[in-house]
Amino acid sequence: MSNISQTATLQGKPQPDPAGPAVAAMLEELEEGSSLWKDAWARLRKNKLALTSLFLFILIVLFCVVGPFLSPYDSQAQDLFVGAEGPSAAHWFGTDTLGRDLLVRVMEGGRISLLVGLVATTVSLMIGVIFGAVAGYMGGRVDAAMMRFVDLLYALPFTIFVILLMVAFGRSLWLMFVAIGCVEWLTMARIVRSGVIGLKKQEFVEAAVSLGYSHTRIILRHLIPNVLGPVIVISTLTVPAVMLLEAFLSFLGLGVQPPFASWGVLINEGQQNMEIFPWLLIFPAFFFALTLFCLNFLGDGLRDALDPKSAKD
Amino acid sequence: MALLEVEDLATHFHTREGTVRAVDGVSFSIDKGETLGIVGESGSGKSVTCYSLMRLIPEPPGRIERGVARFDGQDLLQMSKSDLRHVRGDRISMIFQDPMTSLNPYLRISTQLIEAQQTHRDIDNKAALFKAIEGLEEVGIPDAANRVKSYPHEFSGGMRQRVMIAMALINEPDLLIADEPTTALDVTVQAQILDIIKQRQERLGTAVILVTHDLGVVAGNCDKVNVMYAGQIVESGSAEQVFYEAKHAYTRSLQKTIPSLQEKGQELYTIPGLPPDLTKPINGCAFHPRCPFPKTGAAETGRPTLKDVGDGHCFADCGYCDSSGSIEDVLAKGDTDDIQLPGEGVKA
Amino acid sequence: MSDRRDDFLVLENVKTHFDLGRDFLTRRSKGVVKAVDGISLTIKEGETLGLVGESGCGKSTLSRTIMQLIRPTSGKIWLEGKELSAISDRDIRDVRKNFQMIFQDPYASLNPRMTVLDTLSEAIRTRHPDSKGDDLLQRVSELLRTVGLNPAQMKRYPHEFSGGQRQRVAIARALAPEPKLIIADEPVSALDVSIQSQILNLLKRLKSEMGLTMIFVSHDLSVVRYISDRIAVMYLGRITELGNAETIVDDPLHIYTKALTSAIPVPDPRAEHSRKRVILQGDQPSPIDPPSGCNFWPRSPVEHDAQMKETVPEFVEVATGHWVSNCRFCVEPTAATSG
Ligand SMILES: Nc1ncnc2c1ncn2[C@@H]1O[C@H](COP(=O)(O)OP(=O)(O)OP(=O)(O)O)[C@@H](O)[C@H]1O
Ligand SMILES: Nc1ncnc2c1ncn2[C@@H]1O[C@H](COP(=O)(O)OP(=O)(O)OP(=O)(O)O)[C@@H](O)[C@H]1O
Ligand SMILES: [Mg+2]
Ligand SMILES: [Mg+2]
Repeated sequence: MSNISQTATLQGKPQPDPAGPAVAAMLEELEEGSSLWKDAWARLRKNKLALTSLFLFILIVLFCVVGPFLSPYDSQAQDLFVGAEGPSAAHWFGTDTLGRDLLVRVMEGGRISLLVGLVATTVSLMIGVIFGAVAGYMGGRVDAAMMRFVDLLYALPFTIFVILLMVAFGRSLWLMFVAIGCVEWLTMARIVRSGVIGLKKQEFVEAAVSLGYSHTRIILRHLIPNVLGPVIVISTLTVPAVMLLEAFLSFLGLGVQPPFASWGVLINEGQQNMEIFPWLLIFPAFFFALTLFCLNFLGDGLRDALDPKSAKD
Repeated sequence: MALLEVEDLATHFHTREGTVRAVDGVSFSIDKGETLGIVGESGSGKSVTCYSLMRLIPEPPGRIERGVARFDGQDLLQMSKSDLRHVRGDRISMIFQDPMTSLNPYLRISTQLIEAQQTHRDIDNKAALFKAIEGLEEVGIPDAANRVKSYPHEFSGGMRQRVMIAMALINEPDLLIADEPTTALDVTVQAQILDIIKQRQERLGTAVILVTHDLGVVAGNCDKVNVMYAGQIVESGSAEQVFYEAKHAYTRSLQKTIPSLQEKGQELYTIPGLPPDLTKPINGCAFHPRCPFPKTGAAETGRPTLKDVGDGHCFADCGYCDSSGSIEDVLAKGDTDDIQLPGEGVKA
Repeated sequence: MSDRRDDFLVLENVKTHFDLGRDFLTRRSKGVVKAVDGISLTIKEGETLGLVGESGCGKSTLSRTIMQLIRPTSGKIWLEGKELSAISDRDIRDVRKNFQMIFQDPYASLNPRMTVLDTLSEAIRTRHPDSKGDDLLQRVSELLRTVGLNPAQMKRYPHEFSGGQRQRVAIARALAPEPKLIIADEPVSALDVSIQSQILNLLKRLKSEMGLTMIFVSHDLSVVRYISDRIAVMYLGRITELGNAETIVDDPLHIYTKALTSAIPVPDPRAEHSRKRVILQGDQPSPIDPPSGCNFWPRSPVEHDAQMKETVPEFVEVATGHWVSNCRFCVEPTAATSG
């Protein structure tokens, strides 16, 4: 092996492969490395609470997405003769004051709540990560200007902002995504920016600069993947936050409108008739709370898995 | 009688990955006024040895498994917590590696120095402050009377380490344990700090345990040297014995890796491989897999013990290493190729 | 002067200052850090220049300035006759592949989310943009063998390697764009003694096999002496002494260099006990408001008078290739003390 160094010519094209078969054979038996993501997944798998939460969350999603197709009832079909009735063999979750099957309504409400949660989070993720990374990487005046813009949006009272949007564009589900997304990306951008500023001083980023890589490449390949850990954690915590916001907006009458319903709307209706028809509150509230718990535990688990130093040991 | 006598000290860490035998049967002694050097590569158990003597091992995961550390007739390892508090900081004190974190950043230097005295002595604030200023002057802080009211962050790294020394010596302890006191500092500042320790030691007759990974620091400052490898002492003796008559293959290899000892054109010797995994039991000499002069033969169970080869020069002779071999011959043969074998990378 | 520019690397009165900005309330300037304060140097092709000095004297800043990671405040830098300091930020990317850097911390200098293969392929493509598939793989494995790593491990991630192995990967990355100049900023300071020697051997071998020019930065004169042809001693942003490695270590002229050499601990008890030391006073002053005149005066262990604070010493060639900042107190301290 000692003369390998002599054959290693770096200048120009490699020779027509003197070590050809050897290289080919060696490439056959490449060891697969284990990425930090893989390691994190391995750690997450050992965390029972987080794993159970993930499993439950998937079940809830399936329940809401697939459920309505299996149910014989239409969520909007009213049956005023039946009215509000407690759980029975025909209506497992009972019916609401208009005689609609609550099970289907909880499932369809879940669709909307989860959709709002996931879409708004994704929107905020995209904007926040790119905005934050660019601001942090560029630094100086660009950074200062971009962050003042963020501060400005932060200072805007959220409800007034939403009301303004509603007044200007009328009510729609999509507008709500935009409104919530617009608020949530601010936090994301700040977190990504501070992460990037920390990373920028690390030597591997300097090495990338000294190799002459383009700004885009440095941001996309070297910076963003390294701040994704905290971003993922924040995202799992943003989803429940967004769902709560949506519930709050619906409560104010600014959110989802009848005949559609989200969990927020159902809970609102339920708590109006809490004393007489408690099941109207119990079922949607149960699913809502369960989802929030799952996502929070999952977020905690992800944080420990992605950043093992912060976890106890 | 020796000031401190350590016998068969063993400290293990019980972690999820298994039991780390960080220190596994270490014995040594130190007299009044003497300086004992402990050298070894990273992870060999130097710090854990010191922390064990001060009973500062985090428990769990750590545990002092066995051993005796007789300090002035009392066993430090069996002592009650309250007795220990009287010894720590008064009769034995310690300097840590990182000068940036070992002072409380929220308290003035004066407060910290006065507190260190009042914990152990009945002394009023004025007298304590006076002694504090005196202590700072002695470690070469210029304008000590004015600067004693400063906060640690107003001092540079070298100055902070000097403050640490002043603090460690303010109660005139019998034993000072210095865990790599200069590793974080420049060579010029290192020379200043080592000089100060030496002067103070001569005046107060303090015994010093000086931990370092720099053989040069040991050579200039220590009377006795312990060479540690994988949690045990593999060679010990006077500085001259260890430097000029090194017996153990590890000590000899280590000397050949130092650039300042080698001719310029000459290739530096590199110790092949990595230190052993301390969670696995070690049979025979821990250095055997990396030994440049191995003799064939089966590894025995258990590790070789220190044997005296004359005048207090001890080394752990495993019997499977050709003690007459010389590194020059190994280098000349040219099989110190530094290409790593597959699977040698350590998994984090 | 113009012939000097024909040398491989030429620095002419390079200054790199950091403006700390103004105080938010009082609007008073917080000062300017003069990290590199007027350095002129010429480096020949194929030589290794060692750069030594205490922490904070500006070694890294000078390295980064030559690398154009920080642009100099004033002064000029030529590499192979091309003036780097005049190239615009936009165009500098195209020439960067000609000079590369090896960093101190092997744990921070590799992207933890990329395999060794990805890291190296990306760097190879700066020189060979069209290389892909087998050709690329072959280049990567060749590089890995050159630095003494097993190519079968190329799909591993940095955290799966030890510190010494990571430093080898970082060296491979620096070699990938086939640079002419390599700047190694304390490449062994973070490594254990037994691993230091591996990396030093490797750098030495690569240098002679590939005819690289190298700037080797360290605060440890014994390491620098071993690897360099010439040594430059830096103090507070300036060069105080420059000369052959042997001359600098064995017969230094400047008192600061003497203090540096005498501070190196020698692993030999008898020599340690018998030698005399020059111990400096105090710490290095702040580069924000550096001392006037010969900037060494606050720490000088020899007697000196007000003149030392007033006259800025000239940097003169006292023997062939041996330059020193010619302060009469620092350079002939024995004469100054006795007479
Ligand atoms: N709290 C701990 N938990 C688990 N293992 C530990 C702990 N502290 C130390 N160890 C292990 O004990 C061994 C010895 O560590 P120690 O700190 O004594 O090394 P050292 O010789 O001081 O090295 P260095 O030169 O790096 O300071 C190492 O393998 C280390 O991983
Ligand atoms: N971006 C910066 N802004 C302000 N000051 C800086 C900056 N970078 C470096 N400095 C200052 O410039 C001086 C020189 O720093 P530099 O990092 O070049 O020193 P060095 O010789 O490499 O030291 P070390 O041996 O500690 O690495 C220091 O006083 C440092 O505080
Ligand atoms: Mg230690
Ligand atoms: Mg530096």
